[in-house]
Amino acid sequence: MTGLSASGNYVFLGSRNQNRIYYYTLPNITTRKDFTYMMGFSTTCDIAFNATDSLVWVASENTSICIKCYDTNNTMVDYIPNTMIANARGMALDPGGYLWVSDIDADKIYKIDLTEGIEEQTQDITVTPSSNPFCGAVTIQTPGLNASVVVFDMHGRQIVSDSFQESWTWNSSSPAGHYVFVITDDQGASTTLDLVKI
Amino acid sequence: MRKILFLLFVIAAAASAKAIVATLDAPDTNISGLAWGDGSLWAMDAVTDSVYKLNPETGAVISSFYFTHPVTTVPTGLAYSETHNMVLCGGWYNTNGYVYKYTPEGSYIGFVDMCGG
Repeated sequence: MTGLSASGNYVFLGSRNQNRIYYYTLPNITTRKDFTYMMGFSTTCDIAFNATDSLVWVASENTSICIKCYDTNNTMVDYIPNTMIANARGMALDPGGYLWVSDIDADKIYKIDLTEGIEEQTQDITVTPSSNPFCGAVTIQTPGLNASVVVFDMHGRQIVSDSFQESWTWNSSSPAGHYVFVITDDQGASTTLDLVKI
Repeated sequence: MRKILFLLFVIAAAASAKAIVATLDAPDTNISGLAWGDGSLWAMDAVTDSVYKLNPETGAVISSFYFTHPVTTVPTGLAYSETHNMVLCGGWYNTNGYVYKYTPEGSYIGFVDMCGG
């Protein structure tokens, strides 16, 4: 158990060992109920519960995506890459909907606008896939750049991560479906591709 | 199929729109829990076992107290219950989890063994 968040008569608890979010009745912390399963995430830390949308934000020691947001259907519906927060641990949501995150590498606490604004610390890079949809293999190109790539399936599970120079080919036995590619260059700029394997 | 495509589009669009709008100096070097309550930001440190009440505009420490727990337990996860006016401090040790309850002034109320839960 590494994460806590309270709302009304409930406390939400993030179980690192079970990869699950439970909630209990306050003040005595009784009557456990399931909230969600953190599909594709591990080494989780603190959590922040969004009562308005019934979502939970979860920090992790994951080296590519440090924060994910899950709904009650075990589905990742949002995320924050490590290019914005390097090593997230503590998490809280304030009444205005801002997410507060502690970063133990920078010894800072960040207030994040989840809904609006222009990114301060990341920018898009040009990434070109060989085809979309693709059959069998796909090649992504980042002309003139060294970059890293992380691929997630539609459940938010990390399928593969790799580093490459200008071109990277994914020749995977993964089943047909939708995959999210997060590509980050060595300057920290990143972009996301939504590719379909048929 | 369309629903899946729409969901992925929303995920990608939302992720690219986020922005850091304020940055505070952390009151300690291993902040492992944050919470919001009583109009303040609360932070807990995993090494010094301190719980801080912070001014969210400046990061200044308004008050603090020590989170007392067994030596083997690592402080991680913090919550503030506005409804019950208590601070909940998480303690994690291997497969076991504990929730320690304090008043906002730092008086110990009790703890609950979560049996790993």
